[in-house]
Order: sequence, then structure tokens, then C-alpha cells
Amino acid sequence: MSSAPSKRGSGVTPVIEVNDVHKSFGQDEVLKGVSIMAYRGEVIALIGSSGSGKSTMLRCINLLETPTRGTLRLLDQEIVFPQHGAQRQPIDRKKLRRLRARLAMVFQNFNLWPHMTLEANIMEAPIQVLRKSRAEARDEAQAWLSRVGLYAHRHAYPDTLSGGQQQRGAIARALAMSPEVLLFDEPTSALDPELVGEVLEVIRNLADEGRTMIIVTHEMKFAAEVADRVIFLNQGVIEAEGYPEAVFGATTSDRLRQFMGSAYPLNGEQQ
Amino acid sequence: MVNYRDMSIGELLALTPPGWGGALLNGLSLSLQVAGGGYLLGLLIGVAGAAGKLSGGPVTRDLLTCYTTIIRAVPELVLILMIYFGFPLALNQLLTTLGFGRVEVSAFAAGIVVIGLVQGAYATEVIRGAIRAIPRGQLEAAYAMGMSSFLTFRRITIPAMLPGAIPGLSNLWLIATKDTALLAVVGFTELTLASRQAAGATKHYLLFLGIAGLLYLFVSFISNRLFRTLERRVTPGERHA
Repeated sequence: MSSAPSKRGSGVTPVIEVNDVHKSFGQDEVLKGVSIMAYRGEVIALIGSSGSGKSTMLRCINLLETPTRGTLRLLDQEIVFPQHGAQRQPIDRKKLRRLRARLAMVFQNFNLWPHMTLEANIMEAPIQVLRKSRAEARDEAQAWLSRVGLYAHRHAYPDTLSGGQQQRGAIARALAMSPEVLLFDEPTSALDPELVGEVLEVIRNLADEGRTMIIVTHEMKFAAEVADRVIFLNQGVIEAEGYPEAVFGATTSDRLRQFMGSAYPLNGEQQ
Repeated sequence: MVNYRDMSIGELLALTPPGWGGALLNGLSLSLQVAGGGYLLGLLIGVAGAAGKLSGGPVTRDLLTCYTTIIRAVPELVLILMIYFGFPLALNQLLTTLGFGRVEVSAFAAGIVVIGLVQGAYATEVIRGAIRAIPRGQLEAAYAMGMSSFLTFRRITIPAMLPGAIPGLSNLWLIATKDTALLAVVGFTELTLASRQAAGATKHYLLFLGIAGLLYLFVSFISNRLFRTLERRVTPGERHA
């Protein structure tokens, strides 16, 4: 598999290395041996139709799902999930939590905590997990909220905000952890069409800053524009991978052409 | 012998003997103390029970199911008699075998334990339901930021389940205040027994039992207002309205 550092990626050791990861839910094998490498500063778009396993793959990276087998090298930690039946060493809970704090995730449904103001949502983990002082956490929360254009709404509760505002708030909450990698799980799929733009704008700016990001998305145009590398998952395996121009332009995968043509005819024609 | 027949209502309800007002208020106070103590105990059991039922191992879950099933099936009166008469017997047998002295279980302590155990079984179910109603993603968001299960439970789960649990929990509080009346059977002079004694002594049944009823009504009225305020405070949508 071609996993050479792409245009924005740098360094020789990948920050995230997924090696032959399988994941089954009961009899249903959702991931059938997926390998992905992400280098520092690289933006990877994971695309594919519903049920292709892309969200599951992303959720394996911060261990919200536990792979059935395979190896994950996340930052400086290596976690091996041996073949079924083999003795599995239990994952050290503390190590796992420290690791997760360095890999922030943005969800499809925002998942802001409804009982806290926007500002309190953002201050929560820096105070409780990173042990920052309230004052410091508040200053940083306000800075991040200004950054995503929500400073004026800092005392609002999530359910009074639009979907786009909630998602920008959730991005600010992720950024407040100073994560080394940002994981986006279909960040615009739950949004009304007219709110998609404001969220993509924020993500685009983060990409331009050189942040390491893995984005599961249905926005093909956005993926083509922002990603350094596109990975097309189909039925639990990687069907195509490479520079966006290569993947979208001259793919040899019939499945990918079909996928782009059927689900996104406009995008398909533009490429 | 006091002649109650010639006394006016005001004299009958006077706070000092021969009036019975003081005894009634004393009974009310005891009722509220036992109800309050039992309710708090029940809340603790309920939170722990709900957590155990939702994320405990199979043994924990089975034990908790036994507990909630039995307590909710057996009439509270039977439980009260069992705990008041049976529990001290068993406790003292154990203490004597271990070489300790005997202890006396007061009706007050037994009352709190009984009400706490009963409330705990119902509260477990109320809180479990409210926790299950929290969207899974909100907890995943906490885990994804490196928060531990306990921290997530304390900071996210409990406050997020409160809006859903408070209507049920306020119901339980009202039941707790009324359940204290059952303690009359073991001679604990809470409000019901106090008013029955007053009624029996004075032969003014309607007056004293009516007063007891009014006092219970008053308690539930105040409680409802407090719970409504509380519910508004913890429900995000209404807090700033």
C-alpha cells in the first residue's frame, strides 16, 4: 500500500499507524484488514458509502471501538490486538486516557453536554483531565470560541444554538485539549445544507495551519480540496488511496467511480 | 383526668399540654426526619444501584435485580416488621457470637433503614431509566477527551440524567413522607400515631386525623414547589427562559 508522506506530511515516523485492523460486530465483519498511516501535519480524508466501515475505522483510532485484531501505533504507544483466541493483554486504562486526551474527536452529532454552557463545555476536560486552573481554562476557552466565531455565545446552552454553531463549539472543545491529532467523524452530516459551509470553513483553516487530521466525510469536493491524501473504503477494505487528484481523477476502481457517480453526480462530473 | 370534652378547638390544639398541638408537630418533625434520612439513603442506593445495573458485571446485575424485585414485591409493612423485629435479632446474634455486646435498634434508625431500602429499589429504576435516556454520544465525547468512567459519571452522567429523573424522584419523596405513617405499627410516634393518640385521648377523631391530613397535604404542597424549582434549574432549556 502506498503510504509515503504526501505533500503536507512530514517526518519519517507516522503519528498514527493502523496495521491490518479487523473489526467485527458479532458475525458482521466491518473492517477486513485496514492499514493507514498518517504523518504529522497531514490531512487524510476517509470516504466511502454508508456501511463501508469508515466511521468504525475512525472510532478504532481512539479506541471508542476495540479492534478485533490488528495493531495500532498511536503517537508513541503501540497496542496489539492479537488473533482471536490468543492471550490479549488488557489495555492500561490510564495510558488509554492519556492517549485519548491527545487525540481529539469531533462527532457527527456534536455531542456537546447539554447541562453546561458553551464555555463550560470547553473548559471541562482541560480542567478535569489536563488539570488546568479555571482561570487558564476560561481564557483559553474564550480564545478558541473567538477563533470559531462564537465568543458572543459563550454563555449559551447548546440547545439554544444552531447545528452549525454547536459543531463549531464542539471543534473548539476538541482544540482546547491541544490535541496532536484531530479526528472528525462526518462533522457535517447532521447539518442543514446552509450550515455546512461555516463548519467546513473552520476545518479548512485548521488544515491550513498544518494540523494532523483524519476526516471521515461525505463532502467529496471538500475532501478533494482540503485533503493531502484520500482513502476510499469499500466493504471494510481500502479500495483506492492516494493524492486527491489521483483518486478522484484517474481512479482504476470501478467501485469508486460508481460511488462518486451515483451518490454525488455533480462532484463526479467535476473531477 | 383532663376533661377534653369542654375544651375549645384552640385549647385542644395548644402547643403545650393539655393541648395536643405540640405532640402533633413533634410527630410531623419525626416523620420528616425519617422520610428525609430514608430518602437520602435511598438516593445513594439508587445512584449506586443504577450504575451497577448499567455497567456492573453479571453478578452485580443479578444481585441488584434480586434486590429491586424483592423490595418492590414485598409490602412495605412486612418489610418494616421484618427489619424492626428481625434485623436486631439477627444483628445481636451475630454480635454475641463475635463476643460483642448487644445493641438496641431504635425505631428511628429502623425507620430510616426501611424507608431507605424501599426508596433505593425504586430510585434505582428511576435513575437507571434517566441515565439510559442520555444520548450515548455525550458519554463518548467525555471518554474521547480522556475522562475516566468515574469522572464521566460524576460530571456528565449525573447532571445530564437529572432532568429526566426529577419527576420520578419527586414522586418518591412524596411516597417517603407517607410511608413514615407505616412506622406507627412499631410504636414510633410519627405524625399518624401522634394524631391517633390525640384522637383517642380526646375522642375528637375527625379533628385530629383531619389536622394530620392537612399537615401531610402541606408537606406535599411545599415539596412540589421545591421540586418544580429544582427541575427548572437542572433542565437546560428552561433555565434561562
